[in-house]
Amino acid sequence: MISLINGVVGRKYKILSVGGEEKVARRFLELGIIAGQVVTILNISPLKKVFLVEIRGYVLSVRSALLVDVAVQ
Amino acid sequence: MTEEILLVGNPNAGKTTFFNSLVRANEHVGNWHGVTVEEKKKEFSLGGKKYMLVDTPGIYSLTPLSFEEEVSTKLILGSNSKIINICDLNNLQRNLYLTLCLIEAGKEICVVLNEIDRRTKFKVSQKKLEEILGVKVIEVNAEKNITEIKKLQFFNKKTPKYLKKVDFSCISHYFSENNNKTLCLIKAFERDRNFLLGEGFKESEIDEIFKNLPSSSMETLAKARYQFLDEVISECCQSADFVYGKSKFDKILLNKFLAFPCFFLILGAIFYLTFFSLGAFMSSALSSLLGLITEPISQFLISKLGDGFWCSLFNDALFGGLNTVLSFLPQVVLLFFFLSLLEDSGYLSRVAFIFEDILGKVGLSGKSVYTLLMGFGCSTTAIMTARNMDNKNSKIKTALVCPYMSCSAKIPIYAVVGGAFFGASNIFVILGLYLLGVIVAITVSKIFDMTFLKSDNTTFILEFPPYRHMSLRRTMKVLLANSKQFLVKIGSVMIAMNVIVFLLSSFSFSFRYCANGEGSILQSLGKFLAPCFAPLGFDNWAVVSALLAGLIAKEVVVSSIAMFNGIDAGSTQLIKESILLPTSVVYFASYASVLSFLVFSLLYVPCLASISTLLDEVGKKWTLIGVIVELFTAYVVSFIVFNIAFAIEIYGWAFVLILLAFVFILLSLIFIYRFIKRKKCPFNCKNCQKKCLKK
Repeated sequence: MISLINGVVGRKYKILSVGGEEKVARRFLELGIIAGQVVTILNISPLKKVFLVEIRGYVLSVRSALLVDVAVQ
Repeated sequence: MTEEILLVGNPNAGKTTFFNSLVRANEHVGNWHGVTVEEKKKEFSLGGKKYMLVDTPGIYSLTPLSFEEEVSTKLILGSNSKIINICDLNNLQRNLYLTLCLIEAGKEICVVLNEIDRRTKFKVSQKKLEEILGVKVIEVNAEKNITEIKKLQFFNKKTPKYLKKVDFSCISHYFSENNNKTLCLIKAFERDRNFLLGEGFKESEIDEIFKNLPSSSMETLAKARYQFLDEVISECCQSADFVYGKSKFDKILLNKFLAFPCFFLILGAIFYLTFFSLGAFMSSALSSLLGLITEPISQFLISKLGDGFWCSLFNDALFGGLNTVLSFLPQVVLLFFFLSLLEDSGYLSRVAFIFEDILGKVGLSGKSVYTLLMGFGCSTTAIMTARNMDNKNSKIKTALVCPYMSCSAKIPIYAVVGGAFFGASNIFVILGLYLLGVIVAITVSKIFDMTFLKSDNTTFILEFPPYRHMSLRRTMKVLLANSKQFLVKIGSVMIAMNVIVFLLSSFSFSFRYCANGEGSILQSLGKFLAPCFAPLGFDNWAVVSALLAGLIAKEVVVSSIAMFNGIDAGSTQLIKESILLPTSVVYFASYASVLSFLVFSLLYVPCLASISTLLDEVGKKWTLIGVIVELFTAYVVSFIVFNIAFAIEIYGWAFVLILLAFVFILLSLIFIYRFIKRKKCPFNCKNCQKKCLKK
């Protein structure tokens, strides 16, 4: 189990849990980032501040600080 | 009162495009998240009945996170209005999540599937979707074909069955049996405190309800919805195996090494076309066309009124102002053409992604890059492009620091004044000035960010838009709207200000007309203000007056200098020579004062055109603050530059090098101190990397 921010570009990960601040976690859930779902890291910005992830057939850009509490496998 | 219909949907689903086609409005749309930030209303008739159509900012659910989302949520939950739910066909599943939320809330809705740039593989069975969801479903192309809209019907037949799977028993005894009970239960499960407060619950009651919730309540609900949606999609849609927003182009355009070169290549091309080749050609063509029209008029005026005040008023102030406005027009048109091209194609979101890291550090957003770099061409037009920013604070910051990017109108000042003193090595001076502008812009933005314009980055979760073709019709619309705004709103202010400055420069305090600016208010002001500039090394009244005149447009600075020195402005060589002569009116005593003058002209208040644009974009308060800050930075930086340069002139390089070494040592000491004193990660997260990302 690792945090999504330690993931590698191009790899697929299965989400184990979504934690962190309540409102952020709620938004993630609304966007379909739910335990059991598969995400792919498409790209990471040069300073690792922003992540591009693919989930449920679309692409999301997320500040990496928010992804710290998304545990993946 | 006419009945209201709300237009609700995910961000970038095409609500405003639909709104525009339905009520023939011309609201701003763009291929990204969050273009609409407030509600917009307009009447329209459907089947002989009049309705009020309300466009709302995009939302993902009925639990708001940002201010715009709150606007929409309040509109939806606060009334019994019917709702048109726009769903993007290409990303149906997530769009339907919101639909489910609306159905759960018991709203009467009609689902409109927007098939703009639909991928061919993807097919949806409307009938089946209607059956499962229990609401009317229609399919339209929001931009072109909205005839289907006649079939609009609003109803909501089914209570969603998936809700039965969710166990609400743990909290259901808190809510009395009323028609809002289901919604209250759901909202409690989503831990939406504000909603329950609005329903009349007290804080303590809500705390108790939340205590009784299972810890995974939010997840349970979201999972139930998405499981249901998985079924819906597999039943109603023919499978499509593509990822919305992912593209082959990104392999190159977002590549670690190629992203920046690609970006600068594209931008360089735009820059060149707008400000030099195409734009410059169109500007001069327009201006000579205007000359053809105004020439006979001014000839006529001279013959009737003689070569006096009235003639100058028309020729210099009015026609001159009109000429300036019109010469900006091609740039505005081109700049917005390229901006909308980048915007609609989706590339600008990619640019924002690559630059977010670097610009985020100084409190700007990734999208500021376009505005800032265009500022090298012309601040006036560049500031206008700042309006596409999604965050209000970043927009203000970007617009305010944009004038620090040395605009092309300042080049003549550098070329003539700098050229006279520095000769061949002037190119390094000019480069240094450009660099200084960028550094000051970054510093000022950082200071703004740390003080009263903090950027709110907490909710940075954005959908990545796909690449799209842009329709010609939309391009024309964007161009027309922007040109109109520029001509009417900004142009009128520019001309008015031009007339004011003209009056200042041609009248003395006793309202006597002065033909060549001799004894005018402007000149008196220059003389009055000159002592203030003594610390900067140029307390020459003529220089100060030239700077004052530069408020109209930076091009005027050089021609004013020429006028004061009594030389025809056409010959740069003569102007250069005259500045070097100690007997001239405009004369610089030393290299230090020249440098200081150049730095001051780089950083001080931008031209009136820019100021009127600023007024239009960020309002009175911020324009005033911007102007004050610009004057302040110009003064301080010029002061520093003058003193350093002066020290070099007097004490030689060695002295300055020693001084610099001291500063360097001091800085490294501070750095070492902070390094030793630095705290450990306060968040205690397991996956802390070397630098804590949670900060």
